[in-house]
Parts: sequence; C-alpha cells; structure tokens
Amino acid sequence: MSATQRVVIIEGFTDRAFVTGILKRLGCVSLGASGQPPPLDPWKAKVTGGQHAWESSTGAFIRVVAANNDDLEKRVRVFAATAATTPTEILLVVPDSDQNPGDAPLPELQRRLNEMKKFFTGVADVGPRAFSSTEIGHVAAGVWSEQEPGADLPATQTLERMVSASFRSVHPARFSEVTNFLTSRTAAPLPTGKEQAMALMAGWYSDRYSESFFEAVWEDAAIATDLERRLRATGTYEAFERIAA
Amino acid sequence: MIVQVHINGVRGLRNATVGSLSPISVLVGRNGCGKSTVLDVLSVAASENPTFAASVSFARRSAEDGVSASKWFVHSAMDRATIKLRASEGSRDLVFARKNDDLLVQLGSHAIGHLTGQLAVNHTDIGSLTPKLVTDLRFVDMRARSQTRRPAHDLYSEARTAGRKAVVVDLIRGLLPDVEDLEILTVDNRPVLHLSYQDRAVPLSLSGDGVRNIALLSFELGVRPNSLILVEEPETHLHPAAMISAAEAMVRTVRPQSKSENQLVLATHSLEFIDALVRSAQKLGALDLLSVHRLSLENGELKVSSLTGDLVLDARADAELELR
Repeated sequence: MSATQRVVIIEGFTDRAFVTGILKRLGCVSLGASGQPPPLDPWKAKVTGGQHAWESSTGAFIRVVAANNDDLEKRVRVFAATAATTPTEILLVVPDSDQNPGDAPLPELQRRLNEMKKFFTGVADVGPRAFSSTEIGHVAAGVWSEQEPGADLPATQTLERMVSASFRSVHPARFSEVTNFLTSRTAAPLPTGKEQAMALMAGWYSDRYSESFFEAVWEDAAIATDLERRLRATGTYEAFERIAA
Repeated sequence: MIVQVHINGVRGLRNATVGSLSPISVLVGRNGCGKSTVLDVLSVAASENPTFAASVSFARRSAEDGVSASKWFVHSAMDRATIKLRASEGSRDLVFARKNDDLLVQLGSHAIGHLTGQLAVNHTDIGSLTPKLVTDLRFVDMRARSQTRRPAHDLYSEARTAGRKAVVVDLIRGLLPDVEDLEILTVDNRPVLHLSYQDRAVPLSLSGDGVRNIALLSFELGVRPNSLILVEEPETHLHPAAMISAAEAMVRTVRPQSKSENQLVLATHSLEFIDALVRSAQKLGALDLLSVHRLSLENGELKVSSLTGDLVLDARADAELELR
C-alpha cells in the first residue's frame, strides 16, 4: 500500500503546543526527540521547519504544520498541489476564530472552508465543515473559539480565550487572582489575549516556558475534560479524533 | 517552448504526463522515478532527427551494457512506445515500435528511422514534415567524465562563431569573477581553451571539476539563443555558493529580456539548488518562469505534483516542504 499522511495546519507555535497536548491525550506518539536528527516522513524526507511528526494509535503518519501566523490557506494550497506524490488522506485546518465573543464561529469557519475548495477538484461535502476531493480524501476545519461572555476574558475568540475560559471555569479563585493582578498594575498597558492566557502560567508549568504551557494544560485532568467539552461544541475534538485514530 | 510531454511505454514509464512545463522546469524525485527518462524523451522528441537523438541517448546511458536500443528504449512489457510532445510552436506524435532487436521510428504515419542493435542505420530530419519546436537542443550531463563531453574549445568556438562570445564570457565571469577572458591557445600544437586571468592563462582542463562544470554550463547556456537545454544534476561538484551563481545564470538566460531566452529542464537531487533557483527567480522578478515537478513512479504509472510560480515559493519558504 502506498504511503500516506494526515496533516494538521494551525497558525503558530502556541497552537502547535496545544495540539501536542491533544494528540498525546488521544494516544499518539511523537516521532521527534530533542538531541536527535529530525524525524522522517513516510517518503524518508526530513520533517523540519516548524513541523512536528507523530504516529497515530494505528500507525498512521501525522504532520503538524505551524503556519507561523502566515495565512493557512497558502499551506492548504501547497498540500493540495503536492498530494499526487505525497498522498494526504486527511487534512485538518484549525484557525483562531478571531471573532467577537457574541458571534457564532461556525458560519465564518464554513465560509473559509468553502474558499479553500478552489484548490481542489471533485469536491463533495461529506459533513459539517468537511469535504472530500480528488486530491485529498477528507478535508476538514476545526476552530479555536469561545463565545462565553466575560470582560475578564480576552476580547476576541482565540485559543487564548478558550484556555482562559477553561481556567475560569475549573480554577475560579486562581483565575480571579491573576485577573486582579493584571488589572491592578499601574501604568501598564491593557493586557492582550496572549498576556492574559500566559499570566495564568505563573508558578504553574512555568519552567517549561510559554509554548509548553499550552501543552501542559492538558495534563490537568479537570481542565482537559473542560477543554474537550468546549472543543466538542464546534466538532473540533471529533476532527482530531479522526486524525489520531 | 515545450509545455507538456505524454509518454507511453518508454523505459520504465508505462504511462506518464508531465505538464505545466515553464522556462525553467525542475524535475525532482527519488532514484528510479523517471527523471532521466523524461530528459531523454525530451531530447529525442524535440530533436529534428529523433532516431539519431534516440541513438545518442542510448549511447549516453547504456551502450556498454550490450543490450539493443530497442530493448533499452521500449518498456519490457510493451512492443511499442509513443511520445506526444506539445509546444507553443506546435505538437508532434512519435511512435517507436520494437521488432526483435530493431527499433522502427515513426512521426505520425511517416516512417522516419530505424535503429538496429545499437546503431541508427537509417535516420532522417523531420523538418519537412513538422514545424521546428526548438532552435537548438543541448543535453548537459554534469556528472559525465570530461572525455565523454564535447571538447571545451569546440563549444567555445561554436559560441564565438555564432557571435555569442560576450554572452558566454559574461556568464563565466558571473560564476568565476576573476576570469577576464577566454582564449584558445595551443599546447603541443593542440588547441586548448584557457581561462585568462590578469597575469596568466590557465588551461580549463587543469581546473578542478567544479570550475570545469561551471565553464561547461556557461557554454551550454550561452552558446545559442532559444535553445532547449536539458541538464542532468546541475549541482554536481558545485559548492553551495557556486550553485547560487549557477542558478542565477540559468534564470538570467530564460528571461524574455535576456539575449538567450532559453528553456531549461533540470533533473536534480539538490534541495540547495532548488532553493538557489527560487531565490534567484525571486530576486530577478522571474518567479513565474519557474516550476518544480515532483515525480513518483508506481508500477509504471508516473505521478506528478507540479508546482508553478509562487506556489514553489510557498512550498519552500512558507511550508518548508522537502520538495526532493
């Protein structure tokens, strides 16, 4: 049987760390190791350049691509164009919603996914926010979003807002202390979404630095359960389950 | 300009189509995927004498193996091969029928040649039957030993006669900045091409493999305009810095505003060379002239991923894909 891959495209290194936590939770094994040469894909090519390599629970190869805040659509176009020689069975794209808290994220996500269809031929919808194509069997979109109201949460629907909302729900006292600290600073700028989320790290996995914090949140059982619930609300967790199967 | 080639039954390729060919097309893929066969096919099908070109390809690749050209050229499970070549100037269909050790060559329904064993015993120009697709066709195997190549003084003389000396010297100086000129001097009454520096002249043959390859490449790029130049492993013997210069020279010679306006098809295993081409094309505003074609062969079926223009840049610079 020909070699294939499954691909997850996310925006940046913070997202990649968060995905690391999800894939570990779903039983995947990282193929990269610190101090070792870069891992190889099924075509014996090195996996480098901000990409991570994983093996699913059934032995499928998973490539996680951090777009480094460049547009995700460009990466989708590249994987569509190279699918003839590096077959991709599943492609999952997970952007930040970036919408205001009151706005439903899924219509906008569907619009972006529809835009991506132009890179493919033989497109047919196969479910909510998923289509099949000649080039790639299953193309799907998930989203980092959180509509829950709250002025104490980051202002737009992002991964940081979702993680912060989860902290607020699971560890309300800790969340409140961090919020009070952030708002009590004199002559400090208004905290950004990333700063709000990162502030929750203080004294908690901080030895693993900010990127790993977003991986480590999955090691707190209560937060992991809460995050899974939030991701299931948009079908994003199910999309990762398909990747990890 | 050649834009597409369809191959049926040539060597290991039962069925293959390589399209979206551009002024610089780079073929990449693992050993045995068919890159060299595609180059051979182009050298045969774009030639004004396909039968003779097939015998030259055969001699270049397999003459010492003792097999006949017909066995070498046609897929072992088939009795005939076909090549359909599409160019902006027209198209041509060629058929190569195997009959024992003979290879009978046809252009459409016209018999145009006959190879027996390892030799072309009958071969004709096809200029009266079909439009000419390229002004000149050159095959550059950067891995070849110098004894099997045309002598450098011959190549230089060709360029000089065609009024292309300035173009060739410019290319050489772009790659070897200290060289001031080229001269054919005699050594023991034999013509020998020399690289002229400020205070001395050095026979090209005494230079290292890398310098010789750079010079060879310069001749081939500059000798005639509007050529189809097929290059096997251009990275051979080149330091990464020389690859960058070579890539830039290549991009310069395919641009419409150049004095050469060549079409290049390269086969390479070097990611550094691909990146050098991307960088040069971007620097010279010529990214739309570049395409990368990744080949993968499965049971004789050639799979091709063709990336053109900014998609090549996206794949290397943004996605950092290992394109080889």
